[in-house]
Amino acid sequence: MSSPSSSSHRRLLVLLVAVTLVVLALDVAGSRAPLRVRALGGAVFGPIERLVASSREGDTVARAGAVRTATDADLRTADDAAVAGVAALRKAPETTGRRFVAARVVALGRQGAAGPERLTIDAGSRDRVRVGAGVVSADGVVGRVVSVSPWTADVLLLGAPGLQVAVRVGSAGTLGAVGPERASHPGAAGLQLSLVQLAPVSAGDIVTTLGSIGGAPFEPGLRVGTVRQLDTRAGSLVPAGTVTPSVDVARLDVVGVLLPRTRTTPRPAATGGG
Amino acid sequence: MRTPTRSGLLRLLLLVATVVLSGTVTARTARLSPDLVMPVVVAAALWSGPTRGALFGLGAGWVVDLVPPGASTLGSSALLYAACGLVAGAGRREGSSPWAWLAVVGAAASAVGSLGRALVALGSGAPLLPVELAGTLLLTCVLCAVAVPPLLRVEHALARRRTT
Repeated sequence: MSSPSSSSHRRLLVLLVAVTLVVLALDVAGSRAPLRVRALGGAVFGPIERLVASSREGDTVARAGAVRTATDADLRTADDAAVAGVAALRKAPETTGRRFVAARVVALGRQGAAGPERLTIDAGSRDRVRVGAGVVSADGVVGRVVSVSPWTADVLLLGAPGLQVAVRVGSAGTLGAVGPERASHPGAAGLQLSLVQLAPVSAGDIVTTLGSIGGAPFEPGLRVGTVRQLDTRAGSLVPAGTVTPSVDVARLDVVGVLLPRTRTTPRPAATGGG
Repeated sequence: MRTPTRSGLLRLLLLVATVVLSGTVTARTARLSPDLVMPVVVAAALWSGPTRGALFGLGAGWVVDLVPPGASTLGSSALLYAACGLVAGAGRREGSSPWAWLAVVGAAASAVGSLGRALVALGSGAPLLPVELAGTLLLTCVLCAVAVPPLLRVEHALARRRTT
């Protein structure tokens, strides 16, 4: 016969599993409540991660903070990897003419069986980072902000399930979409490319973002990667292929969170007929 | 109201340390890394039995879900580690257990964890990386075989100090 203590533990376990299942279902359904739970986790554990990440790199929190406040003079004489990273980010076409908040990657998730799907950066709501903002590096698109706490933000990486990006391919600007690779290719990180029409696309063509409504998360022309191979089998309804991402997630350090552009003047109307 | 025991606080500290370390160091320095949380869950479950082991696994999974960047689906790690705790707790024996038995229990719990991760990946439409999955499983089994016996010795020492 089981003791009263073990039967109360069993009841507690059943209750907590039921609560967990409800939270899981809400998250899958896209409810906003789990976002608040994640933000709470970020507020509690985010500062610890920032501290551990900065001490791991022989850095101080103040020095890491210099990433965001570095002046042009600092960047010219940069011997610090983080400041040099900001210099490279400022020169990249992804940030040219765009406002961004520089941040460092402090943690990389490796919970799934499909490799890392999320990462954490050391900038949060105090730095004007908002959910839905696009994140870029000096090499191209990294992903989209999905959760924000005061000190940190979580980024869903390009190639993770749930992140499809509309793209243009090659010099002709063929329309398509890029998402997680469907088939498993061990050791070869890639993205699945689906074109909307048959078009003269070949391996090596540059893939860039088409642009989102309102410019968030992605403005047009951000580098996504290059076409690795195309599926040219006869009978395919939709032309498809794989894309080599321009960003190597494992080596990411400094990234930029793109701030939305607010239009102050209305778009001018045009008159047709020459 | 019961105050938290020293072993409970130690487990919590160890858990937070391993989860933070997983995200900030091991995931960024090595392509393949073991699951650092698994030995902590297996040791706690072997010490306290299946129900408490599942409860501890559930709590440990919530820490994994909440420490940024967390799991892609909130609650998935909690359920996964609860199942691992249940399996490891079922392997509890009265008295001291031989090293080989602890290694077998650690391997069984690690296998449940890997299977769960594969199912979560398939369910979310993510590509499965079998080589990485098998490599992580192997490293986690080795880590459990090495780390669980000393963790159990610490639990034993703390329990002995409590009774004296």
